[in-house]
Amino acid sequence: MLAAASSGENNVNNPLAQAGGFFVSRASNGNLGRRMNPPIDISAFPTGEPEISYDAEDLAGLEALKADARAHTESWASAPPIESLVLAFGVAPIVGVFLVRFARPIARGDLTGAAEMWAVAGDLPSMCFETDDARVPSDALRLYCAIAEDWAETALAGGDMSECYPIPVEPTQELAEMLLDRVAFLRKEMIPLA
Amino acid sequence: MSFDDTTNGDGSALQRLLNLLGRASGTPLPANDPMAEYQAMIARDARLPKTGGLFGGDYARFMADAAARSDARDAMSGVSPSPIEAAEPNQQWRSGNDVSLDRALLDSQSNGGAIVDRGLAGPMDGAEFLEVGNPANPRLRREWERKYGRPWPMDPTTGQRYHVAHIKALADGGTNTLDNIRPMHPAEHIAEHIANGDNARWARRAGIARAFGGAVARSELPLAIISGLTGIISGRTRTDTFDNFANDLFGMPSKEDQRKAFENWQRQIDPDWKPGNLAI
Repeated sequence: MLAAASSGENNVNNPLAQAGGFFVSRASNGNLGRRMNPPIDISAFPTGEPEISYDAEDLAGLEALKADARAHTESWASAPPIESLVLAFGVAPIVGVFLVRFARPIARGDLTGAAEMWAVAGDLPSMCFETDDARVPSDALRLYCAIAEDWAETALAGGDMSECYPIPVEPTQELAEMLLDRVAFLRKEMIPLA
Repeated sequence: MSFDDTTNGDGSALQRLLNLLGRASGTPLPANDPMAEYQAMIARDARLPKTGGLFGGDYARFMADAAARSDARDAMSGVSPSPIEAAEPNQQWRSGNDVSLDRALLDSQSNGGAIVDRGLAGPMDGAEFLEVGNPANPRLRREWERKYGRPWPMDPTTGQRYHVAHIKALADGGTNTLDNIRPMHPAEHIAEHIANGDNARWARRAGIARAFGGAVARSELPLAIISGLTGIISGRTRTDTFDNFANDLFGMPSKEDQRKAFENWQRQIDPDWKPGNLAI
Protein backbone atom coordinates (compact mmCIF):
# COMPACT_ATOMS: atom_id res chain seq x y z
CA MET A 1 0.00 0.00 0.00
CA LEU A 2 2.75 2.46 0.93
CA ALA A 3 4.75 1.67 -2.17
CA ALA A 4 1.74 2.10 -4.41
CA ALA A 5 0.74 5.29 -2.68
CA SER A 6 4.15 6.84 -2.91
CA SER A 7 4.73 5.89 -6.51
CA GLY A 8 2.72 8.87 -7.70
CA GLU A 9 1.33 6.87 -10.58
CA ASN A 10 -1.92 8.09 -11.95
CA ASN A 11 -3.33 4.66 -12.81
CA VAL A 12 -7.05 5.07 -13.25
CA ASN A 13 -7.59 1.39 -12.52
CA ASN A 14 -6.00 1.66 -9.10
CA PRO A 15 -7.90 4.01 -6.79
CA LEU A 16 -5.10 4.07 -4.24
CA ALA A 17 -2.54 5.03 -6.85
CA GLN A 18 -4.91 7.72 -8.02
CA ALA A 19 -5.22 9.09 -4.54
CA GLY A 20 -1.46 8.77 -4.08
CA GLY A 21 -1.17 11.88 -6.25
CA PHE A 22 -1.84 13.85 -3.12
CA PHE A 23 -2.58 17.19 -4.68
CA VAL A 24 -4.50 15.84 -7.64
CA SER A 25 -8.21 16.49 -7.52
CA ARG A 26 -10.16 13.78 -9.26
CA ALA A 27 -13.12 16.08 -9.37
CA SER A 28 -11.07 18.42 -11.50
CA ASN A 29 -10.25 15.60 -13.94
CA GLY A 30 -6.75 15.12 -12.77
CA ASN A 31 -5.71 18.72 -13.02
CA LEU A 32 -3.81 20.09 -10.12
CA GLY A 33 -6.22 21.87 -7.87
CA ARG A 34 -8.18 21.93 -4.70
CA ARG A 35 -10.55 19.08 -4.17
CA MET A 36 -14.20 19.92 -4.73
CA ASN A 37 -16.57 19.68 -1.82
CA PRO A 38 -20.19 18.71 -2.32
CA PRO A 39 -22.58 21.63 -1.86
CA ILE A 40 -23.89 22.31 1.61
CA ASP A 41 -27.26 20.72 2.30
CA ILE A 42 -29.56 23.66 2.97
CA SER A 43 -32.68 21.60 3.58
CA ALA A 44 -32.44 22.11 7.35
CA PHE A 45 -31.83 25.86 7.18
CA PRO A 46 -34.59 28.00 8.73
CA THR A 47 -36.81 29.39 6.02
CA GLY A 48 -39.39 31.28 8.06
CA GLU A 49 -42.93 29.93 8.27
CA PRO A 50 -44.00 27.59 9.60
CA GLU A 51 -41.20 26.33 11.84
CA ILE A 52 -39.79 29.75 12.73
CA SER A 53 -42.27 32.58 12.27
CA TYR A 54 -40.00 35.55 11.78
CA ASP A 55 -41.94 38.78 12.13
CA ALA A 56 -41.28 41.96 10.17
CA GLU A 57 -38.78 43.26 12.72
CA ASP A 58 -36.89 39.97 12.68
CA LEU A 59 -36.74 40.00 8.90
CA ALA A 60 -35.51 43.58 8.77
CA GLY A 61 -32.74 42.74 11.20
CA LEU A 62 -31.79 39.68 9.22
CA GLU A 63 -31.69 41.70 6.03
CA ALA A 64 -29.25 44.08 7.68
CA LEU A 65 -27.05 41.17 8.70
CA LYS A 66 -27.27 39.79 5.20
CA ALA A 67 -26.11 43.10 3.77
CA ASP A 68 -23.14 43.14 6.15
CA ALA A 69 -22.24 39.58 5.23
CA ARG A 70 -22.46 40.37 1.54
CA ALA A 71 -20.33 43.49 1.91
CA HIS A 72 -17.63 41.63 3.78
CA THR A 73 -17.54 38.76 1.30
CA GLU A 74 -17.37 41.14 -1.64
CA SER A 75 -14.49 43.00 -0.01
CA TRP A 76 -12.19 40.09 -0.91
CA ALA A 77 -10.71 40.79 -4.33
CA SER A 78 -10.72 37.09 -5.15
CA ALA A 79 -14.46 36.81 -4.47
CA PRO A 80 -16.47 35.98 -7.60
CA PRO A 81 -19.93 37.48 -8.09
CA ILE A 82 -22.35 36.25 -5.48
CA GLU A 83 -25.29 34.26 -6.76
CA SER A 84 -27.12 34.06 -3.45
CA LEU A 85 -26.81 34.31 0.31
CA VAL A 86 -28.89 31.74 2.12
CA LEU A 87 -29.74 32.33 5.76
CA ALA A 88 -28.41 29.41 7.77
CA PHE A 89 -29.02 30.77 11.25
CA GLY A 90 -29.82 34.24 12.50
CA VAL A 91 -30.71 36.17 15.59
CA ALA A 92 -30.55 39.81 14.64
CA PRO A 93 -28.69 41.89 15.59
CA ILE A 94 -26.52 39.43 17.47
CA VAL A 95 -25.33 37.09 14.76
CA GLY A 96 -26.24 35.82 11.32
CA VAL A 97 -24.72 32.88 9.49
CA PHE A 98 -25.17 32.81 5.75
CA LEU A 99 -24.17 30.35 3.08
CA VAL A 100 -22.63 32.31 0.25
CA ARG A 101 -23.05 30.74 -3.17
CA PHE A 102 -20.88 32.18 -5.90
CA ALA A 103 -21.88 32.45 -9.55
CA ARG A 104 -18.59 30.76 -10.43
CA PRO A 105 -15.84 29.09 -8.38
CA ILE A 106 -13.14 31.14 -6.71
CA ALA A 107 -10.28 31.44 -9.15
CA ARG A 108 -7.33 32.32 -6.91
CA GLY A 109 -6.08 32.23 -3.39
CA ASP A 110 -6.30 29.50 -0.81
CA LEU A 111 -9.88 28.65 -1.73
CA THR A 112 -9.41 28.19 -5.44
CA GLY A 113 -12.23 26.04 -6.80
CA ALA A 114 -14.67 26.68 -3.97
CA ALA A 115 -18.17 27.72 -4.98
CA GLU A 116 -19.49 28.26 -1.47
CA MET A 117 -18.35 29.92 1.73
CA TRP A 118 -19.84 30.70 5.10
CA ALA A 119 -20.23 34.35 5.98
CA VAL A 120 -20.90 35.48 9.53
CA ALA A 121 -22.01 38.99 10.46
CA GLY A 122 -23.65 40.68 13.39
CA ASP A 123 -22.64 42.46 16.52
CA LEU A 124 -19.14 41.10 16.05
CA PRO A 125 -16.41 41.14 13.38
CA SER A 126 -17.63 39.80 10.07
CA MET A 127 -15.79 36.85 8.64
CA CYS A 128 -16.02 34.49 5.74
CA PHE A 129 -14.37 31.12 5.59
CA GLU A 130 -14.42 27.75 3.90
CA THR A 131 -17.14 25.12 4.20
CA ASP A 132 -14.85 22.09 4.08
CA ASP A 133 -14.97 21.16 7.73
CA ALA A 134 -18.12 23.01 8.74
CA ARG A 135 -21.02 21.42 6.92
CA VAL A 136 -23.87 22.67 9.13
CA PRO A 137 -24.63 26.09 10.66
CA SER A 138 -23.67 25.08 14.18
CA ASP A 139 -20.25 23.97 12.98
CA ALA A 140 -19.88 27.21 11.05
CA LEU A 141 -20.52 29.10 14.27
CA ARG A 142 -18.07 26.89 16.14
CA LEU A 143 -15.45 27.58 13.51
CA TYR A 144 -16.17 31.30 13.74
CA CYS A 145 -15.63 31.10 17.49
CA ALA A 146 -12.34 29.27 17.03
CA ILE A 147 -11.04 31.83 14.53
CA ALA A 148 -12.15 34.72 16.73
CA GLU A 149 -10.58 33.16 19.80
CA ASP A 150 -7.35 32.67 17.88
CA TRP A 151 -7.30 36.40 17.07
CA ALA A 152 -8.16 37.47 20.60
CA GLU A 153 -5.72 35.17 22.31
CA THR A 154 -2.91 36.17 19.97
CA ALA A 155 -3.71 39.81 20.61
CA LEU A 156 -3.71 39.30 24.38
CA ALA A 157 -0.38 37.52 24.17
CA GLY A 158 1.08 40.24 21.97
CA GLY A 159 1.85 37.66 19.32
CA ASP A 160 2.21 37.87 15.56
CA MET A 161 -1.18 38.85 14.19
CA SER A 162 -0.23 38.20 10.59
CA GLU A 163 -1.34 34.57 10.87
CA CYS A 164 -4.69 35.48 12.39
CA TYR A 165 -7.87 36.41 10.58
CA PRO A 166 -7.40 39.97 9.29
CA ILE A 167 -9.81 41.83 11.56
CA PRO A 168 -8.97 45.43 10.71
CA VAL A 169 -8.80 46.91 14.18
CA GLU A 170 -6.02 47.42 16.67
CA PRO A 171 -5.29 44.22 18.56
CA THR A 172 -5.77 45.79 21.98
CA GLN A 173 -6.51 44.03 25.21
CA GLU A 174 -9.91 45.68 25.50
CA LEU A 175 -11.07 44.66 22.06
CA ALA A 176 -9.70 41.16 22.48
CA GLU A 177 -11.62 40.74 25.73
CA MET A 178 -14.78 42.10 24.13
CA LEU A 179 -14.42 39.58 21.37
CA LEU A 180 -13.88 36.74 23.83
CA ASP A 181 -17.06 37.80 25.64
CA ARG A 182 -18.93 37.63 22.38
CA VAL A 183 -17.51 34.22 21.60
CA ALA A 184 -18.46 32.88 25.00
CA PHE A 185 -21.99 34.12 24.45
CA LEU A 186 -22.18 32.48 21.04
CA ARG A 187 -20.96 29.17 22.41
CA LYS A 188 -23.32 29.20 25.33
CA GLU A 189 -26.48 30.63 23.84
CA MET A 190 -26.40 30.60 20.06
CA ILE A 191 -24.64 27.42 18.96
CA PRO A 192 -27.09 25.12 20.78
CA LEU A 193 -29.90 26.72 18.79
CA ALA A 194 -28.17 26.57 15.41
CA MET B 1 -35.61 32.79 35.59
CA SER B 2 -37.15 31.32 32.45
CA PHE B 3 -38.74 33.13 29.58
CA ASP B 4 -41.53 32.34 27.16
CA ASP B 5 -43.66 33.86 24.47
CA THR B 6 -45.57 35.96 26.93
CA THR B 7 -42.52 37.57 28.48
CA ASN B 8 -42.70 41.32 28.31
CA GLY B 9 -40.04 43.87 28.85
CA ASP B 10 -36.77 44.67 27.15
CA GLY B 11 -35.71 42.19 24.46
CA SER B 12 -39.07 40.46 24.39
CA ALA B 13 -39.00 40.20 20.58
CA LEU B 14 -35.63 38.50 20.71
CA GLN B 15 -36.73 36.33 23.55
CA ARG B 16 -39.68 35.21 21.47
CA LEU B 17 -37.37 34.39 18.58
CA LEU B 18 -35.02 32.44 20.80
CA ASN B 19 -37.96 30.44 22.02
CA LEU B 20 -38.96 29.65 18.45
CA LEU B 21 -35.42 28.69 17.51
CA GLY B 22 -35.12 26.55 20.56
CA ARG B 23 -38.30 24.68 19.74
CA ALA B 24 -37.34 24.30 16.07
CA SER B 25 -33.94 22.88 16.97
CA GLY B 26 -35.32 20.72 19.77
CA THR B 27 -33.07 22.47 22.25
CA PRO B 28 -34.50 22.70 25.79
CA LEU B 29 -35.34 26.24 26.76
CA PRO B 30 -32.64 27.68 29.01
CA ALA B 31 -33.38 28.45 32.59
CA ASN B 32 -31.42 31.67 32.42
CA ASP B 33 -32.33 34.69 30.34
CA PRO B 34 -29.83 34.89 27.46
CA MET B 35 -31.11 38.31 26.43
CA ALA B 36 -30.38 39.75 29.83
CA GLU B 37 -26.90 38.28 29.60
CA TYR B 38 -26.44 39.78 26.15
CA GLN B 39 -27.62 43.20 27.28
CA ALA B 40 -25.30 43.10 30.27
CA MET B 41 -22.42 42.26 27.93
CA ILE B 42 -23.29 45.24 25.71
CA ALA B 43 -23.41 47.48 28.76
CA ARG B 44 -19.93 46.31 29.79
CA ASP B 45 -18.63 46.99 26.28
CA ALA B 46 -20.00 50.54 26.34
CA ARG B 47 -17.68 51.38 29.20
CA LEU B 48 -14.61 50.29 27.26
CA PRO B 49 -12.73 52.59 24.89
CA LYS B 50 -13.06 51.70 21.26
CA THR B 51 -10.34 52.27 18.72
CA GLY B 52 -12.23 52.66 15.49
CA GLY B 53 -14.93 50.41 16.89
CA LEU B 54 -15.20 46.66 16.56
CA PHE B 55 -18.81 45.67 16.56
CA GLY B 56 -22.01 46.75 14.93
CA GLY B 57 -20.26 47.27 11.60
CA ASP B 58 -17.91 49.96 12.96
CA TYR B 59 -14.85 48.03 11.91
CA ALA B 60 -15.85 48.38 8.28
CA ARG B 61 -15.94 52.12 8.69
CA PHE B 62 -12.51 51.97 10.31
CA MET B 63 -11.22 50.30 7.19
CA ALA B 64 -12.72 53.07 5.09
CA ASP B 65 -10.97 55.67 7.25
CA ALA B 66 -9.59 58.14 4.76
CA ALA B 67 -7.79 59.92 7.54
CA ALA B 68 -5.84 56.76 8.35
CA ARG B 69 -4.76 56.48 4.75
CA SER B 70 -3.80 60.13 4.77
CA ASP B 71 -1.67 59.49 7.84
CA ALA B 72 0.04 56.68 6.00
CA ARG B 73 0.96 59.01 3.17
CA ASP B 74 2.12 61.75 5.53
CA ALA B 75 4.21 59.42 7.63
CA MET B 76 6.01 58.08 4.62
CA SER B 77 6.74 61.52 3.23
CA GLY B 78 8.05 62.85 6.51
CA VAL B 79 5.16 65.26 7.08
CA SER B 80 3.99 65.43 10.69
CA PRO B 81 1.14 62.97 10.93
CA SER B 82 -2.24 63.74 12.44
CA PRO B 83 -4.03 61.38 14.76
CA ILE B 84 -6.24 58.80 13.13
CA GLU B 85 -9.79 59.97 13.39
CA ALA B 86 -12.99 58.05 13.14
CA ALA B 87 -14.31 57.78 9.61
CA GLU B 88 -17.59 59.13 8.43
CA PRO B 89 -20.26 56.48 8.13
CA ASN B 90 -21.06 54.78 4.86
CA GLN B 91 -17.66 55.33 3.32
CA GLN B 92 -16.79 52.59 0.91
CA TRP B 93 -13.40 51.26 1.94
CA ARG B 94 -12.67 50.28 -1.60
CA SER B 95 -12.29 53.89 -2.69
CA GLY B 96 -8.78 54.89 -3.53
CA ASN B 97 -6.69 56.57 -6.13
CA ASP B 98 -5.74 54.85 -9.32
CA VAL B 99 -2.03 55.43 -8.98
CA SER B 100 -0.36 52.29 -7.79
CA LEU B 101 1.68 52.80 -4.67
CA ASP B 102 4.41 50.59 -5.94
CA ARG B 103 4.99 52.83 -8.96
CA ALA B 104 5.02 55.87 -6.70
CA LEU B 105 7.60 54.23 -4.51
CA LEU B 106 9.81 53.21 -7.37
CA ASP B 107 9.65 56.74 -8.76
CA SER B 108 10.61 58.17 -5.40
CA GLN B 109 13.43 55.75 -4.90
CA SER B 110 14.87 56.39 -8.34
CA ASN B 111 14.86 60.07 -7.55
CA GLY B 112 16.70 59.34 -4.32
CA GLY B 113 14.26 61.45 -2.40
CA ALA B 114 11.74 60.82 0.33
CA ILE B 115 9.04 58.36 -0.44
CA VAL B 116 5.86 60.10 -1.40
CA ASP B 117 2.67 58.18 -1.63
CA ARG B 118 0.90 59.72 -4.57
CA GLY B 119 -1.99 57.39 -4.16
CA LEU B 120 -2.92 54.31 -2.25
CA ALA B 121 -3.45 50.99 -3.94
CA GLY B 122 -7.06 49.87 -3.84
CA PRO B 123 -7.99 46.26 -3.33
CA MET B 124 -8.60 45.62 -7.02
CA ASP B 125 -5.28 46.89 -8.34
CA GLY B 126 -3.79 43.41 -8.27
CA ALA B 127 -1.03 44.39 -5.87
CA GLU B 128 0.17 41.53 -3.77
CA PHE B 129 2.22 43.07 -1.03
CA LEU B 130 2.56 40.79 1.90
CA GLU B 131 4.39 41.03 5.19
CA VAL B 132 4.98 37.43 6.06
CA GLY B 133 7.41 37.59 8.97
CA ASN B 134 10.43 37.33 6.69
CA PRO B 135 13.58 36.86 8.75
CA ALA B 136 15.35 39.24 6.37
CA ASN B 137 13.09 42.11 7.50
CA PRO B 138 15.35 43.55 10.22
CA ARG B 139 18.23 43.78 7.76
CA LEU B 140 16.01 45.31 5.11
CA ARG B 141 14.69 47.91 7.54
CA ARG B 142 18.25 48.86 8.54
CA GLU B 143 19.28 49.17 4.91
CA TRP B 144 16.25 51.35 4.22
CA GLU B 145 17.05 53.62 7.14
CA ARG B 146 20.64 53.99 6.00
CA LYS B 147 19.57 54.85 2.45
CA TYR B 148 16.90 57.39 3.37
CA GLY B 149 18.54 58.77 6.46
CA ARG B 150 15.50 58.46 8.73
CA PRO B 151 13.86 55.90 10.99
CA TRP B 152 11.63 53.21 9.58
CA PRO B 153 8.06 54.58 9.66
CA MET B 154 5.85 53.94 12.62
CA ASP B 155 2.16 54.64 13.26
CA PRO B 156 2.28 57.53 15.74
CA THR B 157 -1.00 56.59 17.36
CA THR B 158 -0.37 52.94 18.03
CA GLY B 159 3.40 52.82 17.97
CA GLN B 160 3.18 49.95 15.51
CA ARG B 161 6.08 49.69 13.13
CA TYR B 162 5.17 49.67 9.47
CA HIS B 163 5.48 46.31 7.81
CA VAL B 164 8.09 45.38 5.23
CA ALA B 165 6.14 44.80 2.06
CA HIS B 166 7.67 43.16 -0.99
CA ILE B 167 6.82 44.87 -4.25
CA LYS B 168 7.22 41.59 -6.10
CA ALA B 169 6.16 38.78 -3.82
CA LEU B 170 8.82 36.31 -2.82
CA ALA B 171 6.51 33.55 -4.02
CA ASP B 172 6.58 35.14 -7.45
CA GLY B 173 10.35 35.30 -7.60
CA GLY B 174 10.82 38.59 -5.79
CA THR B 175 13.93 39.13 -3.73
CA ASN B 176 14.79 40.27 -0.24
CA THR B 177 16.57 43.34 -1.52
CA LEU B 178 16.09 46.99 -0.82
CA ASP B 179 14.81 47.75 -4.30
CA ASN B 180 12.00 45.25 -3.80
CA ILE B 181 10.57 46.45 -0.52
CA ARG B 182 8.63 49.36 0.83
CA PRO B 183 7.10 50.29 4.17
CA MET B 184 3.41 49.53 4.46
CA HIS B 185 0.99 50.64 7.14
CA PRO B 186 -0.28 47.64 9.13
CA ALA B 187 -3.92 48.51 8.40
CA GLU B 188 -3.17 48.62 4.69
CA HIS B 189 -1.41 45.29 4.97
CA ILE B 190 -4.50 43.82 6.57
CA ALA B 191 -6.57 45.30 3.77
CA GLU B 192 -4.30 43.57 1.29
CA HIS B 193 -4.82 40.25 3.04
CA ILE B 194 -8.56 40.78 2.70
CA ALA B 195 -8.25 41.93 -0.88
CA ASN B 196 -6.10 39.02 -1.98
CA GLY B 197 -8.09 36.36 -0.19
CA ASP B 198 -4.92 35.12 1.46
CA ASN B 199 -5.09 32.92 4.49
CA ALA B 200 -8.76 32.35 3.80
CA ARG B 201 -8.52 28.70 4.68
CA TRP B 202 -8.87 28.74 8.43
CA ALA B 203 -10.22 25.43 9.58
CA ARG B 204 -7.03 23.60 8.70
CA ARG B 205 -4.65 25.80 10.69
CA ALA B 206 -3.48 23.64 13.54
CA GLY B 207 -4.43 25.85 16.46
CA ILE B 208 -7.81 26.75 15.06
CA ALA B 209 -8.51 23.19 13.96
CA ARG B 210 -7.87 21.88 17.45
CA ALA B 211 -10.04 24.55 19.02
CA PHE B 212 -12.76 23.96 16.48
CA GLY B 213 -12.51 20.20 16.62
CA GLY B 214 -12.07 20.02 12.87
CA ALA B 215 -9.40 18.45 10.72
CA VAL B 216 -5.83 19.65 10.79
CA ALA B 217 -4.24 19.95 7.35
CA ARG B 218 -3.03 16.57 6.31
CA SER B 219 0.71 16.19 5.99
CA GLU B 220 2.31 14.45 3.08
CA LEU B 221 3.03 10.75 3.11
CA PRO B 222 4.24 8.91 5.07
CA LEU B 223 3.12 11.11 7.99
CA ALA B 224 -0.41 11.17 6.62
CA ILE B 225 -0.63 7.49 7.44
CA ILE B 226 -0.58 8.34 11.13
CA SER B 227 -3.54 10.68 10.85
CA GLY B 228 -5.19 8.11 8.62
CA LEU B 229 -4.92 5.43 11.28
CA THR B 230 -6.35 7.67 13.95
CA GLY B 231 -9.07 8.54 11.49
CA ILE B 232 -10.02 4.86 11.26
CA ILE B 233 -10.20 4.62 15.02
CA SER B 234 -12.33 7.74 15.30
CA GLY B 235 -14.61 6.70 12.47
CA ARG B 236 -13.62 9.61 10.28
CA THR B 237 -12.02 7.20 7.80
CA ARG B 238 -14.58 4.81 6.41
CA THR B 239 -13.73 1.18 5.92
CA ASP B 240 -16.94 -0.06 4.26
CA THR B 241 -15.45 0.04 0.78
CA PHE B 242 -11.92 0.28 -0.52
CA ASP B 243 -12.77 3.41 -2.50
CA ASN B 244 -14.14 5.18 0.59
CA PHE B 245 -11.19 4.05 2.69
CA ALA B 246 -8.51 5.12 0.20
CA ASN B 247 -10.07 8.48 -0.48
CA ASP B 248 -10.81 9.27 3.17
CA LEU B 249 -7.20 8.48 3.93
CA PHE B 250 -6.06 11.14 1.50
CA GLY B 251 -8.85 13.60 2.11
CA MET B 252 -10.46 13.14 -1.29
CA PRO B 253 -14.11 12.68 -2.22
CA SER B 254 -14.83 9.05 -3.07
CA LYS B 255 -17.12 7.89 -5.87
CA GLU B 256 -19.87 7.48 -3.29
CA ASP B 257 -19.31 11.05 -2.02
CA GLN B 258 -19.47 12.42 -5.51
CA ARG B 259 -22.59 10.45 -6.32
CA LYS B 260 -24.32 11.68 -3.16
CA ALA B 261 -23.24 15.24 -3.84
CA PHE B 262 -24.65 15.03 -7.35
CA GLU B 263 -27.94 13.57 -6.10
CA ASN B 264 -28.27 16.27 -3.43
CA TRP B 265 -27.58 18.92 -6.03
CA GLN B 266 -30.26 17.51 -8.34
CA ARG B 267 -32.80 17.34 -5.50
CA GLN B 268 -32.10 20.96 -4.61
CA ILE B 269 -33.13 21.88 -8.12
CA ASP B 270 -36.05 19.45 -8.24
CA PRO B 271 -37.15 17.85 -4.97
CA ASP B 272 -38.88 15.06 -6.92
CA TRP B 273 -35.73 14.07 -8.79
CA LYS B 274 -34.68 10.45 -8.32
CA PRO B 275 -31.55 8.52 -9.28
CA GLY B 276 -32.03 7.29 -12.82
CA ASN B 277 -33.87 10.42 -13.92
CA LEU B 278 -32.24 12.64 -16.45
CA ALA B 279 -29.77 15.11 -14.96
CA ILE B 280 -31.15 18.61 -14.58
